[in-house]
Amino acid sequence: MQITVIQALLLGFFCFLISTSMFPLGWLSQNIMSKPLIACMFIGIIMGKTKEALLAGVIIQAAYIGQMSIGGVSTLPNINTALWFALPLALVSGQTNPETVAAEALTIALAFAPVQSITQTVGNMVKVAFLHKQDDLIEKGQIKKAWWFPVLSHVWTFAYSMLTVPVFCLAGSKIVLDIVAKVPPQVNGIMSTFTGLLPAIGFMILMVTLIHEPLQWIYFFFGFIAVAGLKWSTIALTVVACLVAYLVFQFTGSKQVAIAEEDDD
Amino acid sequence: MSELERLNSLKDNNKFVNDAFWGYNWSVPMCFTRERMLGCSMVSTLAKVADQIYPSDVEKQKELCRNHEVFFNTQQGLGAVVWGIVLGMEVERAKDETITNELIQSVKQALAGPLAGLGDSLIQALLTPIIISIGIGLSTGTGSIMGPLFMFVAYTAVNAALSYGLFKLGYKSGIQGAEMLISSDLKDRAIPAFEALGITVIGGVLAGIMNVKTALVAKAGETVVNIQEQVLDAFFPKFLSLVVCFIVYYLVKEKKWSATKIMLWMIPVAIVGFLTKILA
Repeated sequence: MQITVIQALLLGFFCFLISTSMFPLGWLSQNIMSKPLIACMFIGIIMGKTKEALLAGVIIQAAYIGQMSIGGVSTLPNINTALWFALPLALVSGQTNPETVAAEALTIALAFAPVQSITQTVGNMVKVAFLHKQDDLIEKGQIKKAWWFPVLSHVWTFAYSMLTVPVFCLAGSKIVLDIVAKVPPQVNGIMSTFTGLLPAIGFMILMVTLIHEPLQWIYFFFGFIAVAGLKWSTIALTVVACLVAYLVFQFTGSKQVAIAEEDDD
Repeated sequence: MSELERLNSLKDNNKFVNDAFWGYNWSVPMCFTRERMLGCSMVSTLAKVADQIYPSDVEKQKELCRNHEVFFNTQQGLGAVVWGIVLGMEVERAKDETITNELIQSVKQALAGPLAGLGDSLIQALLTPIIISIGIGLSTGTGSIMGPLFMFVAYTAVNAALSYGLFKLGYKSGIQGAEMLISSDLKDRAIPAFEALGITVIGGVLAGIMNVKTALVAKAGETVVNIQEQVLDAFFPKFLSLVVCFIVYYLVKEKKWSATKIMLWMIPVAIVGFLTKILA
């Protein structure tokens, strides 16, 4: 049995919709739509094998139940794109046992995970470009356009979903694994080094706004070393920072402010 | 209606709050980047309602959005309260300039950090797995479509109630808090206190997110010294992250480089750094 061209295109398109994280209700449905079982339902419906897809889906979902995204970094290898060709390929491979189908799908999907992290890094750069385009629109005073403009950055999501998913669906699992094996390991390393540097930009632009006397860096160093060196959690740090803030509040001399009289006429 | 009356009426204007809420809802997944994370969403939310806060003043609308073109990250659900508070404070700022941008940024950042920790453990690590477990139960053995459908409906309903409730709560308390500050003589003392809180928490969040490392090793005869673990970490943990940050700070503050220019320079730095093992 083979995946038809129409099925391959539909799989690519739904992969795109779900990968935007905006389908169907924006943030309200964002986290749940990224779960494998939801993807398996759509894959099953498109492939006309809903039951088989969901039986394998619960096994994949169980493996991914602890998946969280903290600070934009996933705690488990990301299979969200790969699942869209890995599961269909496993479904048409002639296997009927759900465990075998799930294992086949996961094998292909996990092999593809490093490639997906590269595409995500490239996607991040595309999004940054749209982010700065939004800044430009604001400078030009086109505020109404600026609010929705960054959504166009998902043109990248569309391009890679519509390219990878249908092509790999039609090419077959052997070719997928061959391609993955040919990606040089340095590419992934350079990409993650680069993304590791990026947060410095957003943070430091913020610090330029906030710091207006050099001694305020002491607060920054204190927070930094409490987490980096003393391994405090953010909540512990916040409680101690509240204490510091309270002391600052108590010991800052109040300027003698004349209480403005209310003028209602 | 005077300008002040119009701004005061925004407090109970449900359409205004709802407009902003949908701005928040659609902008959260719109453009999440490593550079600003949810900063883009904050800008978009405010840009969507900027003309309702400053109807005839494009310059003010620009300033409102520009001030939020910075890093911001939290858990998006519990963090909805932060979007609400910022919106409330910005409405008050339109009335009274004593609410400064520095104050709003400090409050925003001070709340964002702990809410991220709390939200990740409550929603991602507790609520979501419970809902998924029920979903898995419904589909196991039967292959029934009820499992994923239940997951979608249950999660979305809980998340909608939580996010919308917190957003509105934040809006009201942002306005009230700001009003209290303006009307009392506390602000000379409260603003430095909030800044201390905000800057401290940002330092901590930065230390959690940034992790620049070197793969260099120094060899002296038989002994191999791992520079990262045995030299840098012993001297000052995450020292390289701090160095990168200060270089970027210098470029932004003193050299007035744009974010795009810095980012483009980071690409060759990453390639050369990785291949020479100076960065890992």
